[in-house]
Amino acid sequence: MESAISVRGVNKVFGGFQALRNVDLDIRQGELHVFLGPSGCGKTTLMRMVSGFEYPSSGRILHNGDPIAGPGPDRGLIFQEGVNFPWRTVRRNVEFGLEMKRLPKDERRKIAQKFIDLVGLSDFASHYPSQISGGMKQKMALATALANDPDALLMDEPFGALDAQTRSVMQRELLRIWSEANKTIIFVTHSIREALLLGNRISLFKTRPGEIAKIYDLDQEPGKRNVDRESTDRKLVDMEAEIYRVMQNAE
Amino acid sequence: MSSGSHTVITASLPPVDGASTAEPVLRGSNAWRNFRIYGVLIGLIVIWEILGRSGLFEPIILPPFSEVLQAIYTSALHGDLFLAIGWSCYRVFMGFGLGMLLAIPLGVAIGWSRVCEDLFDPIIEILRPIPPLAWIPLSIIWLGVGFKSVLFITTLGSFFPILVATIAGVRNVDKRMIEFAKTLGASTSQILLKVVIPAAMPQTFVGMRIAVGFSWMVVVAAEMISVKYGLGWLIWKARFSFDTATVMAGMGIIGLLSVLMTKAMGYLEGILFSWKKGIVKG
Repeated sequence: MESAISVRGVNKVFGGFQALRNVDLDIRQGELHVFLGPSGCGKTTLMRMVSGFEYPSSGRILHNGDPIAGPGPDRGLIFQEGVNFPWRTVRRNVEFGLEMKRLPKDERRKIAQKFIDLVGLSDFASHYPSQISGGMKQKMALATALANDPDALLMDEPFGALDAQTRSVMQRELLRIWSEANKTIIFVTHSIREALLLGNRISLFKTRPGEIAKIYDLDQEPGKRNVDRESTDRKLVDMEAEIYRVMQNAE
Repeated sequence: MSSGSHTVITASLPPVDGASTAEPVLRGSNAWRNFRIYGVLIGLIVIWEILGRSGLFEPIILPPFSEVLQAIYTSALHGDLFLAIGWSCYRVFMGFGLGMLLAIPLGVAIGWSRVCEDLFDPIIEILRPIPPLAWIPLSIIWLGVGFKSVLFITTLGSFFPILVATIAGVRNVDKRMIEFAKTLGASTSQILLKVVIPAAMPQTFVGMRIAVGFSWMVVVAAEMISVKYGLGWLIWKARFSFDTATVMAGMGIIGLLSVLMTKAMGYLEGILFSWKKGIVKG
């Protein structure tokens, strides 16, 4: 499989503190790749470098073969708290990126509608963000990013602020949308269970210094594609215990 | 209600559907509330009327309330009152409008650009605490006695509240909102126009509401000194003929107009920023 994002010998130092050491990673085209690890392990730092808001202290990050030079519409970003433009309705939020590209209005409408439908917000298109729930806000953010047709989606603990019930619904929804939209996704989380449910592969990070301790290929190991997994699968539960042990030892 | 700046914004908003239903239960019944609000007002007026008629005070010191009403009626009949209101309103609108036109772009520039901040901030920090009324002598020297002078003072009165609020609004824009816009392909000018300015507007509006009240205070004082016509002038002129009732009538009208305008701003705020509704509910 082709690699969409290649991380080559990346180190990141923040004023004497080594946030990441010697990270090598290939993220495949179209895969849902999870960065898993405790806080302070550098998973968010790596994601911010992929999004272009931070630069490696040494090493290189390539996107489709080109070094990443800054943030751009080819890599959509989704924040934990569902960042949005609260003075715009759901529809106009989703249109934001298209408006930046100066697409004509009716074309914007059409594309936005497609993604509003995809994430299931058709009945809320004319609501303001303050009038919809946290889960809906994340769906809206997802639609906003997808409407811009990025190559990759970078999601920074996107469901971290949601309650457990909403979170599990959103995980299902994400898998459905991912399989329909066919995008490469980097998903950052510190929940082992979430990582196991969603990922094609998991990069398990450890702290001090931030490194990738192990990469799990879940499509092979539990033997089920992520869209078919159930949180009660025996193999997933076993893996959860194993990863938990690895994380404990790593600390 | 939520904490921080949102409270400031929502405090005087008209009640929003649903959001306000819990309020009367907490604060007691509506009838009791109305009684407290209007009861005190009416009580004071009655006491005023009684004291005014009791003969304890000269009419020059305290004319009864009914005489103040009579003064309003008389000057309304002659048209003086409406002329005065018209002139004062005109000056407030002009000064406020000019102040707004100058303060918003400058505020955005200072809040957004470090260079502009370094260039303008020191001057503003020095000029800001000077009361607008302290500018009257200088404005008369520069612009002479007349409309220009009053306009200058009124503009100053609304300029600083709007400027300070706009700077704060621009500086407080959520950094992640700007990052989000960047990942959606927004250029720097698009970020400024489509993200930073709309995000800062509610705060600017708070400054504008304060500025309206300010403009009224300032315009009346300026009118006493440097122009003919207007409510300030009406009061000042009445003073010379010991027409205390008209002085009080003018003051009452100023108070009412200022309240009315601030209320109107509140309603406008509710309409313009209805997207904030959810924040009111917490």
